[in-house]
Amino acid sequence: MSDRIAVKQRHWVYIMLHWLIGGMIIVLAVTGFYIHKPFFTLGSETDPVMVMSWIRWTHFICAAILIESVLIRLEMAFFSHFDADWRDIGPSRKSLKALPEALSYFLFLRKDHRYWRKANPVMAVFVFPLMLLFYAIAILTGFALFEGTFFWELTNTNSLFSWVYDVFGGQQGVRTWHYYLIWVFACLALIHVYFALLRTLSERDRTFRSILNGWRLVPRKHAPIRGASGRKKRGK
Amino acid sequence: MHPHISRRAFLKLCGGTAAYLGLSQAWVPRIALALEQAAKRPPVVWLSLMACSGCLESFAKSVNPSTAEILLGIISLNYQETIMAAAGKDAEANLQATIEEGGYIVIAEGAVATGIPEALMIAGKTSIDYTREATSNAAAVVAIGTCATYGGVQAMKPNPTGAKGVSDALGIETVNIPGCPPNPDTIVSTIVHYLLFGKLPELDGKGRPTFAFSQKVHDNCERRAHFDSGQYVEEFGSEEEAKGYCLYKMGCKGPETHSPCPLTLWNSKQNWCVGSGNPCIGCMEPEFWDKFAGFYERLPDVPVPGFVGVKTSADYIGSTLVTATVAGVGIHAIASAASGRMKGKPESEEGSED
Repeated sequence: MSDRIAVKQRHWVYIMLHWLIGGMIIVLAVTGFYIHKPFFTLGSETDPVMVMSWIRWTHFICAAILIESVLIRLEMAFFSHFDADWRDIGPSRKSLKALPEALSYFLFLRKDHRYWRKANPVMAVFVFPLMLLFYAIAILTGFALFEGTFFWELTNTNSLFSWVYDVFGGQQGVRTWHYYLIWVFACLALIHVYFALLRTLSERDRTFRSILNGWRLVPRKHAPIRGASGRKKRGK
Repeated sequence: MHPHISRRAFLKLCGGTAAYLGLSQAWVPRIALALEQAAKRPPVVWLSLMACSGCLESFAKSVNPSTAEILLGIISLNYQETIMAAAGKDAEANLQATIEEGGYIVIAEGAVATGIPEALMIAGKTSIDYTREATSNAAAVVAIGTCATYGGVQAMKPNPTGAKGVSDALGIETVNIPGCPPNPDTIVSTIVHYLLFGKLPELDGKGRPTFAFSQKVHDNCERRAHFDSGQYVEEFGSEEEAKGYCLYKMGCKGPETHSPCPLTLWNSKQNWCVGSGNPCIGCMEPEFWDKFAGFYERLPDVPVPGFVGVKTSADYIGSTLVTATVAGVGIHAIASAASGRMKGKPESEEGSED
C-alpha cells in the first residue's frame, strides 16, 4: 500500500465535461435512432403528443450542448492553466513513445507497463483522435441536415453547410453518414469503457471511481509534490 | 394577345405568376404589361434529347396559364419535334433561322449522350453537336426535367451511354428545373421572370431557381402535422394512409427533396404523389435514381466500401461493426482473465516500471 498514494487527478470541470459529453452522446444516439425509425407514439389519435417534434427538439438542444462541451474540453486540453492534458489524452511525443510498450502489453507480449497518467496510449493515439474525427463528421452533417433559421439561413440551399452535401454524396449520403455515427460511437464507447474496466481490475487503482470523484491511486514517485500551500510544484 | 384569352383570364394568369415568383400583387399590372409588350414573343427552341417526352406531357397539362395560352400568347415555340407543324427539312431550316437570329430561349428536355455519342442522333448530328449548335446563340438555356439537369434515370450506374445533364455535358450555365416530370408552373414562371426583368431568376448552387426550390417537400407537406405527432403509415392500403398519416416510415424522401410540389400540386392542381398516399421518391434531387432507390425504404441500401457492386443496408454495416468490436473486446477480456491480469498486480510490483 505504501508505494501508492491517492491523488486528486481530475478537476471537477473535467469530470463534468466527461459526463456531459458521454450523456449527450447517449441522448443523441437514442433520439437520433427515434428520428431514423420512430418506434413509439404517445397520446391518442385525436389528442396526440408531438413526439417527433419533442424528440427532434431534444436532439438539437443536446447537439448544441455536445458541441459546446467538446470545444471547451479541447480548449482546456491545450490551454488550461491547471491541467493542460493533451499530451496524456492525445497523440503527442509522450503518448507515441509509450505506444509500442502499451501495444505489446495489451497483446500479452509483456507483463507490465509504465505509469499512464490519464488514458492509455492506445486511447490517446487512436481512439480519442477517431472520436474527434467523428465529432467533426457528426457536427458537419448535423448542421447540413439542420433546417431552420439558427445562426444562418440554413433552409437556403446555398447555406454555409451546402458543401457538406458534395463531400458526403448528396442528401442520402449525408443522412447515411449521420446514421452510421450511432454505431461508430457505440464501438468507440465500448472500447473506452473496456479499457477503463481493464485498468480498474488489473491495477486496482480506483480508475472507475476517479471519473466520479477525481481521486486515483498513483505510484508515489509519479505523485505530484505539493508545497505547504498545497499547490502542485512539479511533475505530471 | 391571342383573341381566345379573355382579359380576365389573362390577368388571372399574371396574378398567379406574381404569387409564384413571390412578388406582391402590385406587380400584376407590370407583368401584364411585360407580357403584352412581348409583342415579338420570345422565340423558344425546345430540344428533345434522351428523354421520354414526359416533360412535354407535363408542360401540356399546364393550367393557369393553359398550354394554349403559353404557346399562343406568351412564347413563340419555333421548334418542338412533337408538336411543331413543320417536318423534315422545313423544321431544321426553321431551327437554323432561329439560331441565326439569336436571342432565343432554349428549353432542353432529356440527357446528352457523351459516352456513346451515336446513341442519340438528331438530323444526322450527335446529341452533343446538336445541343451545342442549338445553344450557341441562345439568350438563356433552361434545362427542364431531371434528365436535362442531372442526367436522369439513364444516367443510373453504370451509365453506358454516358448520359449527362446539358450543363455538365457542354460546360455551360443553365437554369435547372429538375423533376420527373418538372412542374409547368416553374417553367412558365422562369420564362415570365425573364420577360419581366430581362434576366434569369436567382439560382442556387445546383442551378435551380430559388423561388421554387429553396424549400423541401417536407416543409410544406400536408401530412407534416402527423410527422410531428409521431403518427405514421405502417403499411400501404391501411386506414392510416387514408387518414393522411405521414409516409416517413414508408420511405418518403420528402425531407430530402427540394421541390414546390406540395404548393403547386399536379394534374391541373388536383393532387400530388404524397396526397394520393405514395411516398415522395425525390425525383427532383440529383442522382435520385441511384441514391434514393429502393424508394420505399427510409435509408436505402448503400454500396459497401471495397466491394464493387455489393449493396447492403446501413444497419447491417453498423451492426457488423459493433459485433466485431464486442467480439474483439470479449476475446481480449477472456485472454486478460486467463492471464491473471484481472486479479490485479502484486503490491510489490507497483510503480516499479517507468
